[in-house]
Amino acid sequence: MHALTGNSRRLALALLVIALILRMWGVGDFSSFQGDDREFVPKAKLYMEQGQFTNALWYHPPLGSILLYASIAVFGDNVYGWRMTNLLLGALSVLLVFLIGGELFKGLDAALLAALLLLFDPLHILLSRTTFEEVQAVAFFLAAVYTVLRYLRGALVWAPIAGVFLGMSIATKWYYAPAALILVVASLAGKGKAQGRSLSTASFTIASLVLIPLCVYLLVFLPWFGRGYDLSDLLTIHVNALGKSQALYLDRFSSLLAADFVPPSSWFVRPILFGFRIPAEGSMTQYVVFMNNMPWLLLTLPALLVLAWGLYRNRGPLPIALLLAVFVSTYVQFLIVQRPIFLYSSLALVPFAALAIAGVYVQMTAGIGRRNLTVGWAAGAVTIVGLYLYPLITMKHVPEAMYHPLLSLGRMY
Amino acid sequence: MRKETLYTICITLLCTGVVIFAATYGKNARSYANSPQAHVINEPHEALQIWERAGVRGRTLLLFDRHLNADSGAPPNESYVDSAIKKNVVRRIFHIVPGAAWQDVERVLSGSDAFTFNNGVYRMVFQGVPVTVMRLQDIAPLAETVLIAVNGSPYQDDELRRLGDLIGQGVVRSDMIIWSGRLPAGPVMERIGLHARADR
Repeated sequence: MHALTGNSRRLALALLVIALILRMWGVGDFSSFQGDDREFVPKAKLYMEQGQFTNALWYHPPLGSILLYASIAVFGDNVYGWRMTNLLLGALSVLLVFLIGGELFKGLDAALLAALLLLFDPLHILLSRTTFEEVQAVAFFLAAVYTVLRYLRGALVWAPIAGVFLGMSIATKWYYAPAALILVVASLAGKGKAQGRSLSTASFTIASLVLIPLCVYLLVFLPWFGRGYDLSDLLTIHVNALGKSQALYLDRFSSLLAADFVPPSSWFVRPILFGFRIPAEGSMTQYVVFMNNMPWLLLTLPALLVLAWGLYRNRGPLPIALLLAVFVSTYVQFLIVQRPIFLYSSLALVPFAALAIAGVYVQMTAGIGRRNLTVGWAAGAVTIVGLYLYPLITMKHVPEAMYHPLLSLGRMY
Repeated sequence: MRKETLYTICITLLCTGVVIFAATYGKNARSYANSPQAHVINEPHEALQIWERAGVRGRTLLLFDRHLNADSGAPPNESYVDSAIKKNVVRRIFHIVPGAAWQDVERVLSGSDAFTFNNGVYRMVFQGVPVTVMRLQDIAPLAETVLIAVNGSPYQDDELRRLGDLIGQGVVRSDMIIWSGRLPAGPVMERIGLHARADR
């Protein structure tokens, strides 16, 4: 998909609008702090007004605080101000997956399926309605991937834009630091292949994808520098943060997270579900459920294997290799890091899992013929399951009997 | 010149500017006393008033005391460092505990996941402020001019003499030394400039 035209533009717009509606619907029903709002909102105010970190979350880079503070300034110190950043970036992520899908795979089918998987992903919807910074890091990294793919295809202007997004992603969460390196290497390799080995092209790529992210990263610490800190202090606090990340144990987290801790190795191999049950009138009940996107995400690892096999057999295109490498580098990091990594961090992998699943599905069903039917069936299935799960993650009143078999898979508090 | 080369030069210049700005912006935000000062006070918490009066800001504190005195909501002597952090008087702390207390301190800190141990010192970040807990013997030369607050009571005379030596030899440079608690015998006070002004 080299440019959004006609149907694809309308489809992209529809996905964006539906994503926004699904994420926003009822977000203002609870006007008080929910979940980690009580950590993130004071953290944002303290950081922007005094340049200071809080005791609880000082070890995260501060772009999330800057965005949250800006959102509060625009939309007010209320539930919309607290959550608008994630609502908008969550919806934009769906659009970005669609655009990336269009770059990675021929035609719109895989792009649409991947976007639908994220559109209805229960964890992505849930976190888009909170102040969790994962949503922002994912959105910025998706934007970086898309712009890198555009850069590999031609125009120079995409490279510095990609650098800004890459910097913003890492300045929100460190999840994609290994994948950032892969983007740089892939860009160098891709441009080298397309334009021959050129020092000026390589320098430009490195300047755009290394120096610009570094600058963005430095700039988000400006309020902190304003307290008198310098670059050596920045290094010190990062060394401390790395030390802290090695010394975070399960009992330091909320009892709910700790009790239902699921290691990253299980994220894509079994259904995961836990949350809160709030009894309502009659036979109706409200839920807030943390869950992986079952059953679709259970296809992630097989899909990645199929993609990897295809790459090996056919020396496949660089963008597919990039997709695989981004997923693997990010996932391996979660698997080997010493601190507990919770389910919400799996959000960093979900868009790439969706792309892999959708790409492989369209590839494997291409030989069957009646393409519209096979893609339509898959899109319908994803939509039906997504709509069934949606009330569970957005605290809608639901008849308990309708969800009993599903909820028995996990623990409700 | 190729377009890529031109853009690379522009990006490099821009980024160099950002790094230089980041490196100097913080340093320029620090405030020092107009002239070197030394004070002897009755209670440790009075240090905060003196720092505020002098308008010091964004500084490194060398704290000589048994405790960090940063318990929010505690009586002033146990919370004035917390206030100094909140008022941005202090941005970094080296907490030098008495040698006699080191074993106890180690026992507590080594069991806490808030601290990491490296090269003989314990490090943590408290309210975003890097804190290094160490003994006097572990102090390395500091490039920055620091604030010094001493509660002399829990220290041995030889430790206080060593502190005097560190200041006298320029290993530690300070524009404000504030002393409470026990005063050491001998020429230590003169060496560190406390003969100049005794508020007590």
